[in-house]
Amino acid sequence: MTPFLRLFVFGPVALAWVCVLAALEPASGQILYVKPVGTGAQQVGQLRQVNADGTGDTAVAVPFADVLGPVPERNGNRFALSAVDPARPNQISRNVFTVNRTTGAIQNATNFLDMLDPDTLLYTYVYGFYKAFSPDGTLIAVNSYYRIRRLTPGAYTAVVQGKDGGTGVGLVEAYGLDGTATLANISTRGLVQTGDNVMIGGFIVLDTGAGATNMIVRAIGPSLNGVTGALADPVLELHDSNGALVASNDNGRERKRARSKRPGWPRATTMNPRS
Amino acid sequence: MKTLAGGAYTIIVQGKNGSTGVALIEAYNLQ
Repeated sequence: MTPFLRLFVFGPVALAWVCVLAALEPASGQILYVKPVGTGAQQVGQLRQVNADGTGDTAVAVPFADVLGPVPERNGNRFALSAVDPARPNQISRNVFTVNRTTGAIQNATNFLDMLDPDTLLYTYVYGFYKAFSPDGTLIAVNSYYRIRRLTPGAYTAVVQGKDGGTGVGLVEAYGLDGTATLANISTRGLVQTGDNVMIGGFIVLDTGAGATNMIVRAIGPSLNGVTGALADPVLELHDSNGALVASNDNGRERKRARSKRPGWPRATTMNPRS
Repeated sequence: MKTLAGGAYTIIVQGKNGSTGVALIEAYNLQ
């Protein structure tokens, strides 16, 4: 069985990714978002609209096509909406909505992971919005929405950058929505800074009942050929969902031994003892 | 290489002794 992998990485913008998401600009002037209602994993959300400065927060029920512009004509009437709960600003809740394209009515709302339902897989395009709040509840950002599309096998890179040269911490997520899809390798490149701005990535190994799976996780710095300002000496840590340290490595020697045990996995073009 | 059970995992990359720079994270599923 092939585990389903989910990648989520927090890091400075201007990142390169292998993933299936593309960040797009929201509709100008007013932005749709979902305000979480209720608590727990199955919380639903209320579709709302605000001005770009965060004022005029009102509930809406308008056709998505009128707000987003043309929606691809391929079963485009199901949307995934992401929202940040003001009470939990560091957590992004995800909700799936079935929206009637004619009336804009929200017909259904379930947890994002329910998109793994085979019935949902028929839908190609998914859109999401989210709104970020500071710990005191002040609106600090309204982020872009996302487009998810069905991809043929191959390598893909998504590049996220700040509009007009803006910088900050960005988030990119990749979800394999099809039960047969596999993210064979996930990777990201970014600027590693200090404190809260170290590079943080993650993945989820789905429990398919087939037992544990073998994973290789590596961090490359000095071996990044042609990259200016490469991190000279990366220190890698892997933590489980409880925050416990699973493994760590501050040089490439352990990885080299692992590679020798399992031939065939991709190699860096130039190996460095500290990469 | 690590054998991992189902669950969520977090990768943290930082520079040794507070150093900074561009790095690449990669995760491979060997199955």
